[in-house]
Amino acid sequence: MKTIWFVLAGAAGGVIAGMGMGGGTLTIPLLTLALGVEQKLAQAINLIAFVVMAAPVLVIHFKNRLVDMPALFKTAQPALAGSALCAWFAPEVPSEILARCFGGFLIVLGLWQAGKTVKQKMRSKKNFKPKSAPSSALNCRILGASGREYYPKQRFDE
Amino acid sequence: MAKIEEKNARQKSLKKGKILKKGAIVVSAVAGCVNGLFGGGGGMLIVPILSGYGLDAKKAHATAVAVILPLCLISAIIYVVKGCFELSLALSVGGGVVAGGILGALLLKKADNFWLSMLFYAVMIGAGIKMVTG
Repeated sequence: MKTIWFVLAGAAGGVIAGMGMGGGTLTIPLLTLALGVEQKLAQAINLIAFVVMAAPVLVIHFKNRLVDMPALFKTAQPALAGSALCAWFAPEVPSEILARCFGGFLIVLGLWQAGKTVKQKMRSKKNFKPKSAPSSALNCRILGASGREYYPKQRFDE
Repeated sequence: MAKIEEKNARQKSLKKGKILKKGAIVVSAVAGCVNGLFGGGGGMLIVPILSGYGLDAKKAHATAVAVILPLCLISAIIYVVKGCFELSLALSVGGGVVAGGILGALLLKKADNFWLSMLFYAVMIGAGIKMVTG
């Protein structure tokens, strides 16, 4: 019975992750607060789930040439070092302390991201330009000037 | 007109990138640290760094996935080696994440992202407060 709840918790995080908003930040508190999983274990499970989900997504991104190699190498090297170092320490820290730190991280991240989103919304309202109708309609058929139908290029969303 | 605007935006972000470049290495290391320590959340820190390098939003997101994947792989291996693993939990949560991820990618085109994001951040802050207070 509990398995269903685990699947649902994963799915909730997955939906957010699929929308590109960082799903792990939802999966981990769902697992610990609602389902009583230990903090360390929830973190480990989230890492594994991300690897499983992101691998096929990354292949698609590579095919679409959306991955910028110079930026990737510049960012990945220091990040990899930091990650390996801290992952080595994390399982040694008691879960209770880890959960409190994670909570603090969530608050900071949530406030920061919310502020950014509101700012973006204000800016887009300020610079609002009416789009021409056909280009804003994404996947619908449009009648061209000659009266023939054509399909606008589909936008790719990851 | 649009071309000039685009060029200006690109130059602006490049300029910003130059300033950021020195700090970027430190911030990348911190993002890696956070991802290793908390088992997630590094992507949200990596995307702004990549935007600082002058990448547009779509490329920044795609490249962030490429940065985060090896981090998560290494961290996951370390966690498992240190004994933080449960097969049944990994299978059920992992299955849910994959299914949800596909759904999320499809929903992305339809949903009103502003209110959904704000709801998500509100939940995030609420969960954070609950975890801090224990």
